[in-house]
Amino acid sequence: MPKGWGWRLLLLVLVLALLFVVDLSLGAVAIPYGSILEILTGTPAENKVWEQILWEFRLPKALTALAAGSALAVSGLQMQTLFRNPLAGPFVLGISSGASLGVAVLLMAGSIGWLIVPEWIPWLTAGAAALGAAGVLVLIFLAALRLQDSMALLILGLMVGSLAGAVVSVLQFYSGAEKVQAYMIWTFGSLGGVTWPELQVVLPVVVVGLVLAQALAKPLNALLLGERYASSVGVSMGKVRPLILISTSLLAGSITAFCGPIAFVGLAVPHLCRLLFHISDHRLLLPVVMLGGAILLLLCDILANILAAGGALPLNAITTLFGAPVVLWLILRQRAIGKMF
Amino acid sequence: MKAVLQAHNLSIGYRYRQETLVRANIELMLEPGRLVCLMGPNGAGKSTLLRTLAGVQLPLAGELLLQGTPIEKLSQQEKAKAISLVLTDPVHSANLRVLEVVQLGRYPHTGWFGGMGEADRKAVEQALDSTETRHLADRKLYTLSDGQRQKVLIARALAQGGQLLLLDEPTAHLDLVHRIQIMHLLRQVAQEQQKAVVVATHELDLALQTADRLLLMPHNAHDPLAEGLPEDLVLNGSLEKAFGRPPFMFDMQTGRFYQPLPHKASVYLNGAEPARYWTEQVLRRHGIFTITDAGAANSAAAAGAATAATATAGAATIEVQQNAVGWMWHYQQGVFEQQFFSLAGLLRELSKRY
Repeated sequence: MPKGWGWRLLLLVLVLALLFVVDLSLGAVAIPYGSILEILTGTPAENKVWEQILWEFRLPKALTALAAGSALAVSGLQMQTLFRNPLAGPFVLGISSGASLGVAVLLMAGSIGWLIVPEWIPWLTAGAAALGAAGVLVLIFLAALRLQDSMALLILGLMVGSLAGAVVSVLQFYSGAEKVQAYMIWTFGSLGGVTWPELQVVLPVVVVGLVLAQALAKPLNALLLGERYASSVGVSMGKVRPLILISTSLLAGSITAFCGPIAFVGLAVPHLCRLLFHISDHRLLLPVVMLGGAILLLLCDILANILAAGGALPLNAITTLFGAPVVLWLILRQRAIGKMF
Repeated sequence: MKAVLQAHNLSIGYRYRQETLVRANIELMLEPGRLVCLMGPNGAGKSTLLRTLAGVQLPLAGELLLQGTPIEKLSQQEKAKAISLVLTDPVHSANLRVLEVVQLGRYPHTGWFGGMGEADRKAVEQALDSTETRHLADRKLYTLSDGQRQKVLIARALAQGGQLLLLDEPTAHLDLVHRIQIMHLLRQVAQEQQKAVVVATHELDLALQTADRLLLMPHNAHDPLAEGLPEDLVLNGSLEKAFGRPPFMFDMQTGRFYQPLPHKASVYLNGAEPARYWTEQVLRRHGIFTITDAGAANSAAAAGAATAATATAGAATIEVQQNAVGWMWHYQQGVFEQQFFSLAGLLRELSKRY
């Protein structure tokens, strides 16, 4: 590790820990920091309601923010590096649209007699979203082989997004208001809907995706030179490309399944980290982006809590309010972002 | 000398839906310590050959031996350890530093997480030293000039090790000084590190100046590849055959191709070099052919009467002289005589007459 990086990573972890505690304290009921630490360390708290709020709602939500932030940021980073395109990300390439389609089919296809889903089963939603995401990724990947043109891929992602949107519209037309609303709420993005049993699925999947991404740091570094150079130094694109796609679909797919399509984090965080820390080595960039994504999403959640304590402000509104200026600032600052990211 | 790469009866081309043969019956031997320039007109199949030699694309038929082993039997990592490439693909990543780029060359040698060992560090330093890019190590790649960046990409290829170094147009977009620098660097690398270096290039001048061998791909796919000492290929007409297409003519004296222009007139041209040469160049471009005749020059210099005899034959005489101020052109036709102090002035006068 280059000099000075131990400290910087430690600093990021400390910031993350601080925001984590702040996030736990905020909500409809304010809980003092002292009590939070007491409850977390297992000391019997004087206020049983606080204990329950913390364990049942706030802790799962904060952990989800951690997982979602790092997962989306890392999958965005991987896509940007694989496609050598600064505008790539799970959302821009239509992967989240695929996940949305998967969930829409799952939630609403019963209405037109295609599919009978007996109950709301979390793993089933996750599976549908992951399947949708993987489907889009494979499509993009096949196109990448044929086209070798990032611009065409972006247009393809846009098309896939529109196509998914169209199918969802058709499904909505035939579905009852209740199901449409369930789907709409899902698309707003939310960290609060994830409870412990669901976290037991999300966390391991995200950890597997992150570990896989970190294991791919070396080939990802070689990909910075472009695919042809990467192949020439011994990167087997036939093996590495599917692994990157698997990691990305696990990360983006699982988070999108449980939290809805969270916008901008996957696109903005890698750029922010590169700009702030001036690094391109994925061995270091990946952990920094993981921490950065988690920090950004925690910040968004804290902001949502401050703006509407206890209310359900759509998460996407906040991440976009955060993310869009970042992307704008980047484009204005770099002028030629396509050439130097 | 053991060949680094050997091709026997090699057919190259593409397997995309159906086989597209680009060229067949290639016989080739690349030896260590030599800088080979691969040349040929656009569409002759240079890129295909280079890709095949690099092991990126498999031969359609025939034998391609990399250090004695058929290339299709080698794993990607084994190939990466033996062959390094400098491609035309632009490399731009805002934060990528020169040292990191060169370190990426060690990819096939490092462990699964890319940690650098002692041997790796040494190879990187040697690569930086032999390309004279050590002082750039901490710079970001995108801040370098084109010439510096090309040297860094060569350093990356050197750090990768391997006996075969393939470069695709490494001097494109570079100024003259950097072109020559890069070619000499490659020649030095070939000799000192006993590598076989193959450069695909369009720059005939540069190739004739620096290459140990030329490998020519004629435009016509049925003509065999010509390989040899550049000068041999000039003299035996291979170069002309590979590139020459009407109306272009090959000047064996200079090793250049030129397009013949309408012949408007002939003049006698004599005098001191290098001004005589450049006068010849500009006149030729304007359709005026020159005859250098030592006898006429002497007579012109000696006495006006003798020149008058030549002038009656119809052709004018231009005599180039150097004085303290610079060059001077003495123009004479019949009784008309004038002195010019620049070629532009001379040309103005001539264009009035022819």
